[in-house]
Amino acid sequence: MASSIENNNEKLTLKSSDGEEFLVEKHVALQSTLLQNMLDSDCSSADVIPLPKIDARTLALVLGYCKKHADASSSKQGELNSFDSEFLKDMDMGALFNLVLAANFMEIKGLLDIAAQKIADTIKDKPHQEVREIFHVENDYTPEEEAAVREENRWAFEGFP
Amino acid sequence: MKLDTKLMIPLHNEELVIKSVGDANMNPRSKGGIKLRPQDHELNVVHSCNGFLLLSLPFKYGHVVRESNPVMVSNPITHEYINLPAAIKYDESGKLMNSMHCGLGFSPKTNQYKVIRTCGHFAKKGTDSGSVTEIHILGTGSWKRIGNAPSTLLHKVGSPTYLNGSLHWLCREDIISTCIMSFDLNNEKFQSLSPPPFTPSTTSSSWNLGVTLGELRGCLCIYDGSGFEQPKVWVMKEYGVQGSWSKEFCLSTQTVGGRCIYGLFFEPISLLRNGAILLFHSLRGALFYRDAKKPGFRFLKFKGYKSFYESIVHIPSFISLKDAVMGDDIAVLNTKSRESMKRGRRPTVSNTGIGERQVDEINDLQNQNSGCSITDLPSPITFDIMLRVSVKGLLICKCVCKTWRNLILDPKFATLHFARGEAYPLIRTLSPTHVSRTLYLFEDCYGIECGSCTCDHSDFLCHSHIKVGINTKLKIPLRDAELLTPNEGDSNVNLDAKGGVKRKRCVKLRPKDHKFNVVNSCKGLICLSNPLQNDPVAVCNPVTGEYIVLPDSKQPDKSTEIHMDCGLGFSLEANKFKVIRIFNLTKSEMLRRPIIWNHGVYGRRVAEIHTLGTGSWKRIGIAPCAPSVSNLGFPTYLNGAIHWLCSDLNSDYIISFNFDNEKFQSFPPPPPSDDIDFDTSRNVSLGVLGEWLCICNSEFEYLDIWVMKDYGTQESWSKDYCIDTCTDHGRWLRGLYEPMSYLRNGAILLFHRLGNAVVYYDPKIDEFYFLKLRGIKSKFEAIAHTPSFISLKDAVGGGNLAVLNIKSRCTGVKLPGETKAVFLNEENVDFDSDFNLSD
Repeated sequence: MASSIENNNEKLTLKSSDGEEFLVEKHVALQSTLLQNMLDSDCSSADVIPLPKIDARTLALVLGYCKKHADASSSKQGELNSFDSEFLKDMDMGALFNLVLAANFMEIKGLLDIAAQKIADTIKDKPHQEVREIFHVENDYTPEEEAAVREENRWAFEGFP
Repeated sequence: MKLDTKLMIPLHNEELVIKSVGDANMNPRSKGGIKLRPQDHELNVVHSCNGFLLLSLPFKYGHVVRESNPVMVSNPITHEYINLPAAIKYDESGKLMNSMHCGLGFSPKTNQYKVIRTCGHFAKKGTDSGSVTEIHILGTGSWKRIGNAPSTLLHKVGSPTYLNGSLHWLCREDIISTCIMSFDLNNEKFQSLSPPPFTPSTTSSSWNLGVTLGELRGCLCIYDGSGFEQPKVWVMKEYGVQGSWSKEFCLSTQTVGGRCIYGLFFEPISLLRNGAILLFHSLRGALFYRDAKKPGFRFLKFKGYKSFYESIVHIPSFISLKDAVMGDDIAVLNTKSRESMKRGRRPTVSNTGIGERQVDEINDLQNQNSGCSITDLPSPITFDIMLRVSVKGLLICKCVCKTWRNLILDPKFATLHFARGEAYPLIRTLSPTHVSRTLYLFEDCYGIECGSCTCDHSDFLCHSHIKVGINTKLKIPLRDAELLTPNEGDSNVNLDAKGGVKRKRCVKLRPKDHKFNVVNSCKGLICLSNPLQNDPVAVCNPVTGEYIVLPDSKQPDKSTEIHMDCGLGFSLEANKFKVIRIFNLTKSEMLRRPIIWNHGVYGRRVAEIHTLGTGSWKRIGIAPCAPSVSNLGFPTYLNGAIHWLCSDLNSDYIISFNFDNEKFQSFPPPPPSDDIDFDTSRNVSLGVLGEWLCICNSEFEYLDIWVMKDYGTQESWSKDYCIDTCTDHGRWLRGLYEPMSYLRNGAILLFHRLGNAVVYYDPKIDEFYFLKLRGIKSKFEAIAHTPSFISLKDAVGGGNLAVLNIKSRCTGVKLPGETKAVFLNEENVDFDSDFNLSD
């Protein structure tokens, strides 16, 4: 592996589930523990690494995140933090879910953290009906049960109209 | 801005709809639209050419929609459309042919509209896919095969662009180099145009989504946003001339607020008459508008219907399809006459928050509803997400569905949630005349720095406007719920029965009967005491609402007002919660056996221990006492021991009680120095920051925070922070500061009792936010508390323990001021007035 460190410009091709190919620099790909393990064990002698669970849209985002973090590892943490929060801003819930899945699959801890946190923060301060709507969760309570569980947590609802 | 111009495209399989509408009409109750399945009825809009749209069957590959079989051409303005003849699906050898690309174009020479499609088998790059190209002239009844399609077209990006009698696709020859394939509709031949001179090396990783082809003002253009900064728009000034490519725009996607919009996913839409450029951002569903004269840009999001959006460039045309096609026997159908009598429950862009008058027209058509559900995520991820949800969020999530409720009530979840929990200020109003059972947990601390303020600027400039609501309200029980239930309770119950009567009046309770003191917090539980003697009487988990009443102790005589010291702790060895109380012996007992403390001071204070889950108190012997000051301050639990700050005549020191060996111990204070002088300053407090015991000493204009890096070692005390409590405005925020929390982001939270304020201090930038508690006019108190969803029953582990629940007891009762909202507000001016108010 020593040779690969010297050669920083080595590139890999990743293939998304929908067949798009992405050429990435190796040090960018190494942000992913999955890819790192694949490269270490040298099982990726093939030119193209398929990522069958990740579509192109998501993969592009993931690689954007990895590139920023790989290139900026020595620079200021604060800059990365603001990149992170900007990165997820206004992102659609579906895109976020895909991102979480991709980060989980590719084992990119930092990305998994910020994406999961972003989803968790969405829940905060919203009435339960709205949470259901945002996350498309089916309500399996009967009206009586719901009233009971709501009453149980009544103070949590103070302040909602 | 509103998008008011709604146009409609036909549905696929309309016969089906018409039939079902007929059926539905039989049913008088059906109104409000029919539900259609997208896979049956939705059409994909490929592109637009001279005001006509080419519609194809959507072909889903993963969940990316690609065009495939072209089936219709429609003019959404005149509502006309024509069906295209069915295409041959199999080749000569009987193999299934997949339609891959299609496009609509106009041949100026023959004055005909033509639809082109290529089809073949999916094959690896470089190999011959055997793809063929077919062409259909609108108005005729068949497709004509014109030969093979170039293999580069297999790797095209995005939909075709029609210009100058040709269709153009952006293609990728290999991963790096790009080219533009064009198809001339006159001579029906493919040819390749060269792309603009990019530097491919920087554009490699996100090439596919960062580069798009389009048309601006009659010129081919390429949007290149594949780099991470400064997207560019290249324009081919002279059609077909390679040398005429020029970099026309360099867009700064930095907003005024310093936000930088990611360069990917933009598609060029139009160059307006006033010189402004309009782009579409497909991921965020927004338009990007940049004025030619003014700096900056506008980022206009589509609002009104929650969905993904897609957009194509379309020039509206009132030219009838009939005239355009010029076929007499062609069946031109009309959208209006068919489906519009009954509206399908199709997403209508209602009140979409944007619109452009002079724009050539933006057609936004929702394609996929983002029907993603959190339940689709694997359960470990859901679990991980749930662990990050705030306390308030989790309380609400319990009401969302049973699955979530069970997850949150699962002891495994509660344990992990607590393990990653942080201490937050738990704030309560402090009033002698009111019973306050509401605890405000301030858990939104991370919002402070990024400006959770009410004004529009989300940056540092306005931190004088910081206003954070404290929405997480928890409750502690009332002391004597039995006293309450028969009297006040009755009247409440009646009114509570849903008779449409407005919720009951507030009940005034006497603090003497019902008030509790909050002593300290340990591992998610809170010790509550009787306010007169500070006798510990209950332990409560305010998050789950459970509490237990501690057994009665006969010592000392309750009629006397003797102040006690007490605290809740946890024995790590025994894995049990214990409560300690320290009190003076009665005179008679004193006479029987005088007690001498080891320092030679006559002491008459003894300690008793109660292990939660048992039924009694156990005397463990004498307790240290200082002659001058009767009580011990700032009970602080850490590492299996409780610590108090104790003031003597000469010095201050820390007394600790270890819950494992049940022994007292004097604890080394910070080394004496000039900086810390306990004698003159009484503004010393004890607490925990992160994992460390800490002392806050505010003297003159500085607040010193000492932390004990190595628990129990005097040498490890270090003065980590020295905060200037004089603000830029010249305020000196004197008085006692109590440590609350060391946050994950490195900031420190303190409570300032004199100013009724939470202080947020960021050591990295040495920024000091003074956030006053507002909403209720009162003094406040605060303790540091780590919220826990661990059931008190599980925590105590007593099988026959009587765990009571606040919720089942006096929920119906409303106390004065309970519904008021408390918030934190950063204020600069009227500080002085608050000294008067708080005294």
